[in-house]
Order: sequence, then C-alpha cells, then structure tokens
Amino acid sequence: MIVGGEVWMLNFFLICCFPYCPLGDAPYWRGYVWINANYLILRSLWHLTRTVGPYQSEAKELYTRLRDALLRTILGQYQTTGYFWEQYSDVDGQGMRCHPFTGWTALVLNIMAEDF
Amino acid sequence: MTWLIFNLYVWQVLTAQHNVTFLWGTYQPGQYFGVKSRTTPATVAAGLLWHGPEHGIADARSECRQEDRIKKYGWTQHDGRHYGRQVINDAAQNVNLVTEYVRLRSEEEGYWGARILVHPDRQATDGVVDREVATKGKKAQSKKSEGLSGKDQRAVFLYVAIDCDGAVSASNCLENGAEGLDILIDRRKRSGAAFIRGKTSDLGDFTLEVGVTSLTATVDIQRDISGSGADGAKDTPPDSPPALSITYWGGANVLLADLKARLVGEARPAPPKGNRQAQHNRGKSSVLPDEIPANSNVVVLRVASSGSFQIDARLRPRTPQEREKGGDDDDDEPGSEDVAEIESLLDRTTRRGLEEFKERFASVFPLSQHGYRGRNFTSEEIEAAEAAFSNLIGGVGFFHGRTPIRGQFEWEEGGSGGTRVLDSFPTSLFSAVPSRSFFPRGFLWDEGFHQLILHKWDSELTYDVFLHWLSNMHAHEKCQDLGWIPREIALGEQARRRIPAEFLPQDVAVANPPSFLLTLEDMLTLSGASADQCEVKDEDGRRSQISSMSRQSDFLEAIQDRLERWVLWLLSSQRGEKLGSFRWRGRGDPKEKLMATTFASGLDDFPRASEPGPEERHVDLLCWIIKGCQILSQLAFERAAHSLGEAEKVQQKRGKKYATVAEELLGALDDLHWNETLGGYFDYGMHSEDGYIGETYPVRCGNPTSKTVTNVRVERSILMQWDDEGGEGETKICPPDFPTPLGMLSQEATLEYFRGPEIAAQHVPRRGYVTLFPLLLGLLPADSHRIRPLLDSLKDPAQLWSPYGIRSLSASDPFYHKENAPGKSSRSAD
Repeated sequence: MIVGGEVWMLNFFLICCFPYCPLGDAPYWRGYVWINANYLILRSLWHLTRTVGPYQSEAKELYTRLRDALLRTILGQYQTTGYFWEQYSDVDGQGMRCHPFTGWTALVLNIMAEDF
Repeated sequence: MTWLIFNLYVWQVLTAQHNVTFLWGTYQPGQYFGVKSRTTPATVAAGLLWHGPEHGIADARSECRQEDRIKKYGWTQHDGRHYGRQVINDAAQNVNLVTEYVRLRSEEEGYWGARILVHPDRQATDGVVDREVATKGKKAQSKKSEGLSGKDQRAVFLYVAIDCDGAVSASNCLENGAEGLDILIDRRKRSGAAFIRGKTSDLGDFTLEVGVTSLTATVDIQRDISGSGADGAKDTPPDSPPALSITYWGGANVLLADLKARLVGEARPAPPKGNRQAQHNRGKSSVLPDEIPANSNVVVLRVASSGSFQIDARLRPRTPQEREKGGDDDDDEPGSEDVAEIESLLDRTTRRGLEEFKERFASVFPLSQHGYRGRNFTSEEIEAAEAAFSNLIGGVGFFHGRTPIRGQFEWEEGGSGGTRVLDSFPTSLFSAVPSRSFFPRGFLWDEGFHQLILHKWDSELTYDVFLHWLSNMHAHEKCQDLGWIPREIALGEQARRRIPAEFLPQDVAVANPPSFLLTLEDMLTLSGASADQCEVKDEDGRRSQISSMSRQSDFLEAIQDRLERWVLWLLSSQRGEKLGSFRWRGRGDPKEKLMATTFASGLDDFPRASEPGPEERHVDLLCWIIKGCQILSQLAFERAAHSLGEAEKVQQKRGKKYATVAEELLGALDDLHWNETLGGYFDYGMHSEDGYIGETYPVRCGNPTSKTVTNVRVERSILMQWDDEGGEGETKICPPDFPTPLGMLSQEATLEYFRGPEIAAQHVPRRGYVTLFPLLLGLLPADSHRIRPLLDSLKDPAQLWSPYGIRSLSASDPFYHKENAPGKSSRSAD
C-alpha cells in the first residue's frame, strides 16, 4: 500500500472471512422458533394435561394456544411460500434459513395428529 | 462373549433382510430425482437433469440447491418403499415436472420404474391452459424448424450409471465385476425407445428400458395437477404433437459428482444460423453427440421438445437367455411395442401406488378427525401434512464412503499424543436428511427427531436407520470401543463436495444429543400399549402382530449393548469437574466471535457461560443423560419381561442399575442447576452477568520506520475518547510497534464482543430452550413446584412466548437476535 507517496508493506490482515455458512454467524438459536424444541414442549404440556396435578388446566390452555400458533405459522408459510423451513421468525412468523427443510419441521404432522 | 456373538448374529440377520427390502429407492436425496441401489461399493444409480427454453446444459438443474430458486418442489406422496410422486415447479426456467418412482414387486415386472412428465410452466401452475400460452405453443409447433434448433425446447437428461462414489479406489470398484454400459436405440428414433444395458457383481445383468412419448397439450396436464386421474381432462382435437429430439452420450470413469461438468464439455452447439446466432448459442445448447465409448459407466439420454412429453423407464434384471442372444440381433431393437408395455405397466403401478399411499396415510395419521382453532383441517392442510411426511421419507438416502475422524489418538504407536485426522473404514449410512438442498447428509441428533415420525409408518425402516447409525460407532479401530458416534456424516464425493474441508473431520471427543433414544422410548411405549390391547380379531391380524413383536424383540436385542455403550461413553467422556455434572466438549474458539459456540449441544450459538472452561456444567446435557439412563432402564425391563431364567435376571439387574443412576443424577440436577432465587434450572460456569456487548472497529496502524502496517481492533469507547482528545492525548489506539494511526477500515467489519467486569463461578441465567430441558424431556414430576417458573417463562411474551411459537432465547436476553460475528442477514432472499 502507498502512504504519503511511500510504499508500506501490509503486515497482516485481521478481518476474517466466513467460508462455511453463507449467512455468516447470524443469530441462529438466539430467539427464532425451532420445531424440534417446540414439539418437545408441546409433548410435555400434553403429558401435564393428562396427569392430575396443580398445572393440569393451565397446561391444557397453554397447549392449545401453542399448538394453534405453531400450526398457523408452519401451515401458513407452506401455503404462502410452498416450503417448510428450518426455523420461523418470532417477530413475524416468516420461514427462515434453509428450505425445503422437511427434517424435524416435518414434526408438524405429529403435532397435527396430536400423536405424542 | 457369547452374548456379543449372539447380538452380532441377530444384527446380521436383520440387516440382511433390510438389504433386500430396501435394495432400491430414491436414495439420492440431494438430487432433484435420483434412484440408487443399496449396494457397495458400486451402486447402480439413475436420475435426472433438466433445463428450460433459452437455457443450456450449463444452467441444468440436478443437485437440489437453494440458488436454483425453484418455485416449489418436493415429494407430495412417498411411502418410503414402493411409491413416490414429486411435483417440481421450475418457474424460472419455465419447466414443470412430475417425477414418479415405483418399486416393482416381482422380478418379471422389474426392479423399479420411473415416470417423468415434462410440461411448460404456466399451464400446469395455473391449473388451466392459459390462452396466451396455448397460442404461443401453437406458434412454436408451426415453426418446427425453429423448434429443432433447440432454443424453445425443454430438455431432460435421464442418466443411468454404475457409480463408485465413495469407493476407496473408483477404478478397482468399476473393474470388479462391473461391465461397461451400452445402448440399443431405435435408429430412426421414431418410437422413442431405448435400452441401456449393464452389469455389476451385486445385481448381475440389468437393462434400463426407456420409452419417450410426446403429449398433446391438455390431456396429461390435468392428471398432473390433480394427481387423481383424468377428471376434467377434455380430449382436444388431435393436433400433431411437437417433434421430440433424442440424443445420447456415454462416458467412462465418470463420477456422478462430475456428471454435469462432463456434459457441459460434451454438449454440441446447436446448428448455426449465421455467425451471430452461433455466437449466441454457445454454451446454451445441450444436444449430445450420440457416442458411447467402450467401458462407459454412465449413459445419458437427452430428450428435448417444445411441447409436453413423458419419459417412462423401467430397470429390470436381464436373464442369461437374453444375454446369450446378444445385442446385435434386429429383433432385439427396441420399438413402439416396448414403449406401450412400459407405459401400461407404469399407468397401473403408479395409480395403485398413489391410491395405497392415500389410504394408508389416512389410517396411520387420521388427520380428518383433528383440527385446530376450533375447526377441522382443510384438505389443503392435510395435503401439506402429506408433503411434510413424504419429503422426509423420500429424503431417506444411502451413502457410502469414508469420513475423516479427528482425535488425540495417544495410544497410537509412536504417536506424539497430538490431534490427528484419520480416515474411517469404508462405512455406510442409511438415513433421512434435514434438508435436501442444504443439509443432504446424515445428522445424528436430527435423525432421532426424524424417526419420531417415521417409526409410526414403517418400523423396519426405523430399525435399519438405527442399526446403520449405531454401526458407525465402529467407524475406525482407533475409536471402536469408545461408544462415540460421529455427529455429522458426509460419505462419498458428492456429499464431501458440499462441505469445506475444514468442517469435515468429526472429533471423537465431541458428543451430540442422543435424541434417538426418544424414538426408542416411543416404540417401547407403543408396543406396550398394543400388547395390552388383546382385541385383535382375526388370525391374520394376530399373526402379523406376533411377527412384528418378534421383529421388535430381535431389534432390541441387537441394539441394546451398543446403546448402552453410547450412554456410558456420554457419562464418562462428557463428565464435569463436579460429580454429577456434565460439560459439552468442543466449545468453539471465542476469538472474533461474540461468544464461543457449542455445536455439540445442537444449539450452536445459544449463549452459555461467558468464559468457556472445565468448570462448566451444562443443564441440557445432564438432562439428555438422565433421559438416556431412564430409557436404557426401560429397555432392560422390557427385555426382562420377554426373557427367562438367567437372562431375565441379568436384564432386571441392568434395568435397576440404570434406574438408580438416573435417580442419582436427578438429585444432581436439583443440587447443581436449580436456582431458587432466579427460579429455574441453569448452566453453571465462569461467567459475567454484569457484562455488556460492545463494538470494536478495525483500524489500520503503521510503523513509520520500517514502513509496515497492521490492522487492529479498537473498542468503540476508546476510539471515541481518542477522537475527543483530537488524537493528541493520553489515549492510544495503535500498538507501540505500529504507533501511527492510518485510518479506519470498512464500517461493515464492526465486531461485537462481550465483556464483563466481574467474572465469577455462577449460574448462567440465559432463559431459553436450554433452561426448559428438565420440563421438555419429562424429568419433572407433574406436581413439582419447580415447573411453575418454567411455565411462567413459556407464557411471558417478554420472554419465550411469541405468537409464532416458543422462542429459542428470551426476548429480554442481552444476546437475543445478536449475531455471533458479522455476516449477511439470516433471512433468505426468497
């Protein structure tokens, strides 16, 4: 490089590059909605609703609300975009990262069938 | 010892049966359409490439890639064994395809069949023949000369290959028992028929029979859209269909991974129409040279037309008599009667496959009895569920090759004890994949979740996937006694090329959640429930129930020891400093990152203790291990119930042992991770809770004497202070060796970091999936007071509740939506 008319040698360059993930190190498990974990949450709520205890009715209400929310998000995005997604935005419900992601997002089937 | 040998025997019997059941399938999930034999090292593979009008071979689609921006694709029906149907809407290249696969059920019928329907795009997507498009189509037909020049044609490339991807030596693999492919084709190409013949040591002689038919516009499009016969299809007046162009090419020593690149080299430019036109067509054409060299291991048939067409193919074994007759006999030449025969076979088998799928799906997953938001599911929603399931099961792949393993193989003779990378034994994997486009290979903890769905449909498939993953515990002699299973397995050249080399090696110290055990728990619970139901009415039903119970019992016997070794390995290798605590090994390098990642946990960048170190205790890992012990215990008791005498006692002892370990660890969960003040279960480690997220900027500094420069990162606050002092004060932004500031580098390279004044050993209150694990693995009694704060965090919109599902990390957390290092936006462009 040239500084004030003189040639200076570049010693090293610190700024790193991100070859693996084209998305860089964007937030991944820092807020967005993942279906494998949501499936396990629903499953545990489902079991709480079927066991007599202090949380039974509260769990039932939360189970229904969460199941409705997930199905609206996943099925809605499938109708709009034609795909199942790796994760969904917790801000507006849009599908994010890669598609088609019919790995654990396919658990939408078990959620629909209430087969836990 | 006898115990082990017996296990191995059951293992081999199960695997041998699976090798027959799952001999063929759409086992190249990373391709838009790819069939493959489950044989090693040589496989017989077949599949597709295509491109649309105004495009050439260089733009051809083959490997599923997000960059292709395919408007929609995926299996809409697939049963994992006999039938699959996929719709591909490639609007960008104006091509629609329907790909169907059928596993034929007798040797006379053949091994398998495939039907590919190719249409212009808009007709099929809109569901009606658009008037404008129809007119255009007519114009194209009337100008046949232009059609033959290739510009307005859709081209499909059907290949069949003897592939040695993943073999230690591709040439040895090809020479060993395989014979080169040849082609017999109707020389006038009027019938659209071709036979491609070959031989491998595993499969013997085989022939791929192909028939191509040009279609008049409307008839088959209706079938394509509705997928349910020709309702609403109106016979149009017979128009002479557009001409088909059929060309072919063969190549020797071609890896399928290189096929497209080779085709780009072989395709001929279209017939020139003056120099300017020829220039324009360069790289855009894809006509093949009609050549097949001796010893070809791949043959590609190119079919192109400006209209709609259908390719029917069937792979069948070739009898010794047929082989004796040879190939030069004129009677042998394929003709229109062959096309008609395959067509009628596929008409029949695809119709049956589709009907059986629909019926079975409705019975295994009775969705019409369910709904949400106070109503029943619509037919579109049920179709979406079918598509989710089908693309998962249709994404099951078979992979063969070697995988690099990294470890400190200290016990190696003459080894220095440093980290080394070794290639595994040649190994195989039969597994579903998370994403056909982005992750078309096996991932350990994903697979446990996949099988939570698939075992309900086909328990044999789940058994076989399980056995394959567990057999990779023996991927190398240096680690076969460990109980370690690689976290991500990329076998073969095709898989390897999709990952940069530095991410390939799998570290033998690094674990991954044993989510497979959840599937096993589901299967044990299910079989317990069905054994209690003694209402099976007829003899057949009873017999099939007994047979499936005995298969399950064989399976459990085969896997028990290795599962145990897996959990024991987790217990020992991931042990924490404090008794009863566990720590994920392999937290990433925090340099240049906001925080060190924890890939092993599966929750990559979920924030953990701010200072990675040996004193860390990870609550999710402890929960997985407790769950693992509970399921091992359940498995042993289940086996005890079906054993007698000594075997029963041994199993009961095992069952009790793991129940005790689980109980003790449940105590550790409360002692080490529960925080009464904060109300929750948390990680523990050297951590700053009063830390802040700051920014650094890249600055270039120079040494005026040596005329050298360097780049450094400067914290925002220091940079501001330096600026306030006009650069003349106490504050320095450059190091002593390079004292002269030369300027700031691009703003985009701003890097965030986390720094805390007070770092102490403490709980890490980052609420999210990690802190929910005791609840979501069902480890807490239904009346535990410790459920209260977990439920509260789930319901709180400021924490984990969002209207779209439960957040992975609390919205109130300092790391919420924070990128770990500079990168592009995470939202996909489309």
